[in-house]
Amino acid sequence: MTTSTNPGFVTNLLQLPRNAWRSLFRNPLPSSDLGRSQTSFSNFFLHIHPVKTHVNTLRPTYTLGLGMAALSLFVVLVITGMLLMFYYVPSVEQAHNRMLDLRGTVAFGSLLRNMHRWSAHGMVAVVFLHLCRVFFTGSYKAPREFNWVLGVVLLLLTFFLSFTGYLLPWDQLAYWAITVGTAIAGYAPFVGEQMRFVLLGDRIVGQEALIRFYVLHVAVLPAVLTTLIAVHFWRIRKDGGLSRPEDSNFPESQPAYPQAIAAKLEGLAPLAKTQKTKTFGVLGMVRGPFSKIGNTPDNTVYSWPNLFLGELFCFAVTVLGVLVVSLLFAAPLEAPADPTHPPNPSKAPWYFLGLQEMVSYSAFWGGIGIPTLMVLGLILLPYLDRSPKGVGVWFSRERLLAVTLFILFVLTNLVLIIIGTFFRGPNWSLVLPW
Amino acid sequence: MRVALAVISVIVLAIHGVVFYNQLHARWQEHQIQYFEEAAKISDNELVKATLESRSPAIEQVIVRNFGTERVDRCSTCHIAVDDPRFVKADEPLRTHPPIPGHKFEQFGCTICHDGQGRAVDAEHAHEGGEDWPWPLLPKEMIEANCVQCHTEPNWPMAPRVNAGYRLFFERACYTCHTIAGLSYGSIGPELTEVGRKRRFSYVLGKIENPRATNPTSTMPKQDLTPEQRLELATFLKAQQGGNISNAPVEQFVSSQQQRPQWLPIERIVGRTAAEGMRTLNAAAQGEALLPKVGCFACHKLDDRDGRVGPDLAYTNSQRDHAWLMDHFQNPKAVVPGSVMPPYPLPNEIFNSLAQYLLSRNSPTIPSEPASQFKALCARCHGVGGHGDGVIAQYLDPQPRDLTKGPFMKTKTRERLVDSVRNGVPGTSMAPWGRVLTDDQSAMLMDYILANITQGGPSKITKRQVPGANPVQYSDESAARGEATFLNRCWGCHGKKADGHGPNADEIIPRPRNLRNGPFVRAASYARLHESIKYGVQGTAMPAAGFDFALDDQAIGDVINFIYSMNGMGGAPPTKVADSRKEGR
Repeated sequence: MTTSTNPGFVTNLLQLPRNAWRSLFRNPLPSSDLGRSQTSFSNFFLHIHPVKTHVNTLRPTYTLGLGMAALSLFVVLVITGMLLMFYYVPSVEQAHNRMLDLRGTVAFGSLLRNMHRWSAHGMVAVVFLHLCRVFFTGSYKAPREFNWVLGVVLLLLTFFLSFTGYLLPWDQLAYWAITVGTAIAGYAPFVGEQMRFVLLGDRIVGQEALIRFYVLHVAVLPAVLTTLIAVHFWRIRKDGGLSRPEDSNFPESQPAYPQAIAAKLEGLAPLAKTQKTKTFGVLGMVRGPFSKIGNTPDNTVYSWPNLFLGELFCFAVTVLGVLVVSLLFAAPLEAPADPTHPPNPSKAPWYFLGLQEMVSYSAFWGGIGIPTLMVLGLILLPYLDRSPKGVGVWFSRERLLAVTLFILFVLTNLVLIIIGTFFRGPNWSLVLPW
Repeated sequence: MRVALAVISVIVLAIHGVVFYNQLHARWQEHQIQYFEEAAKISDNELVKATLESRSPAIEQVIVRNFGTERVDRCSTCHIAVDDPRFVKADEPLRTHPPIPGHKFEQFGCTICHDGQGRAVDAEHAHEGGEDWPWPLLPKEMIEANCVQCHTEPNWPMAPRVNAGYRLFFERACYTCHTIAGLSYGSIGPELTEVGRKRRFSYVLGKIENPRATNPTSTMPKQDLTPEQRLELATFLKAQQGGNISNAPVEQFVSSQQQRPQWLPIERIVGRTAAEGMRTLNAAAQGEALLPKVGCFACHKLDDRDGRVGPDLAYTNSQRDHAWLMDHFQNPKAVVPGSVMPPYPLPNEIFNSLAQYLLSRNSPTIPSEPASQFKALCARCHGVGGHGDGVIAQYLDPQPRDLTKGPFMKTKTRERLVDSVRNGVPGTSMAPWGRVLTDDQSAMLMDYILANITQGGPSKITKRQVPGANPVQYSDESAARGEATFLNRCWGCHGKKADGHGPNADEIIPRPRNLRNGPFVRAASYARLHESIKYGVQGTAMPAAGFDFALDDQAIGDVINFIYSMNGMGGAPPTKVADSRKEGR
């Protein structure tokens, strides 16, 4: 083997900064289409993104950035959560005291805790709004059914994450909210009591429940959530990116997957200039006459910088919102949990208050029956609504029935939550909040 | 988009700057810097001066493990001059703490005496702890409640308010309604064994001052206490934290297992010297000595002491006999079912002494004019104007009759009204005045009431036709039919349990009758009950049920049999009021 040129040691030393920089950042900031393409797939963190993005995806009024906001909130939660983990101890004797330490002595402790709490509430709300957006734009329809189901599962995981985290401060608010929530779970027929025991590790909320909820909250659920979020994003790519209105579609920009399979079955070569559709199954070459990029007349733009700028913008706005809210409003910390002093009324976290309101009429139907039907309805939605009309458009007239039903569904839940929050007082009696 | 992103990024950065600045310039740091400067100024030692000037602020904390669960007290982060004797005259938070010999801050911390939230380093959370912290900083006068957690010897001279509060706890009859483990037993009010640990002291003070502030239907009497006495009682209650930290575990366990005693040792209630001194006296003299000490004046009136909750005891010798008094002492609710008087945990001998004393007194002289008689004898319950709103009316059940109601007063025969005055109304707090007032005086008093107090009403009484005895023989079937009618028609006011607490009862004055009032029902004539149901009771909300609900005499007889069945009459087995205190004393 011929020796490659090895400049002398001193030269190497002097060149060290430049060489180190270049090995870290292989591609300079792009100034050509080639460069822009390379950023998208030569970077580990960016290569889930497509090289080119449809313009409709980038319209703020289309998605409202809700999905990215949810992801940003999750990132904020993970970071603040990890920092809080350095100080929190999931023991019934220590938990509340540690919360006091966080509020008092830990540097930036109260800010971190506030950010964590408000991001958590925000994430539940934003994930739900994201679900509404996906519904109203018909983006659950074929071929995106599985992604929708994944999204519903993610919603449930978000609820569960928020619920498990709610207990950790071990104050009156936490203790009794979880008592109410797990009691509702116990209303399930046949398996209710067992389910409750598995959740709590005991018949009552105590040390067992605290450690279980802690493990779920910091390890199990974030791992599952992260995995499913990754699959959620993978499915977006596989389904051809975010949905868009039909008239903005060009046949060439349709996902080629079915055609690719058909072509393979017929033994035809997958890549040819004459092929009319884009392929996602195989990495496209970016040089030469076979390049599709820039040659097909579609409404796409380079992901760099458009998509990345949009994502960064969503992240920045989310972080700004979280910071402002965290500086203005302190997260509540009530008296240490006292099993002998239930507050009257004891209320579940706000996202379960609609359930609690329904439970006050019927334990089974309100707590188990109707919520199960709601979740089932959501999951089965794309399999029951097979009409391809109205995808990619907000409140399409062709989907009047579906949109109306869903708005009713959302409003009912909203009204139930509002009643449960503001209009219910001691003994769950009706009170006026003013 | 880029411009907006830039703006937002700048704002985020600015916010971070503010956050960092706040973190590095917290209030406690300013206090410490001020201390360093002032202490350096008044130091004459160069080395000390240099140390102070080079010192930078740091959180100061004491971790206390000797006294129960671990405490972390960071009070000296702001109160950094607490052990620097040169700052005796300084403003808080840099003032020196008065020396407490034997109590080093490094061993005790601060919150063990002062309460407050030791882990906080900002004033609002450290002192008040936010809205929900159960242990806000104690006022100076109440700190002794925390001292006695370790200094458990009774009557410790350094805790005068706790000791005074202990005496008030018995003198004001608190011990009869509230349980403090090892001290008292009462099942009417909440247990106070750990009230010092579980309730904020401001809540306890507020409850003593106005029991109905947080619970409008509380039967806890509003005691006449000076602010100093309220503080003493509250300090004593603050000291009740459920077991002293320095008690031997065996003692603590034994005290927690203590079963309900039949009665409390009299030494505990009146003090040892008083108890010993009493033994030499005869029964009536014992009663006289005990009366002010066992808590009667928390409610009752006698001579110049008045609790303003219960009746005047001055006429007891003319109104009651020994048997009645003993029954009433042992279980007031058996004699007057609506009474708020608790059963006192005292042995029969003490009850006997009290009864003997009350019966041995001479009644005060009665004024001669009916107007003055009314004011002296009746106004306490019926009110100065006779509206049934006397000083103690809110604690009486059934409440005193509104004598101004013409429709009621003028539709009852004068015989019946005078009879109520002379013989009282069993099952209520209306006492018999027949031996206090002569027959003529009773009649004149009633005339006075009808002429001057009663207003309106018909000018003559309509004669009613009612059977004198129940046309329906008592039987279980009859009572069952009556119950069915009752649950169909009557329970809206009288309640599903027939105790007068139906859903409509809150809006009706006078309140619907408690039909389970045994003494009342047993003393009422059949005709009276029949007439009340058939024709209603004018002046009250009782409708003419016989006509409104088409109940004939037979049906009314069934209903009355049902009422009898609840009160042990008419062939139904007598309802036995469980009274273990009567047996085996």
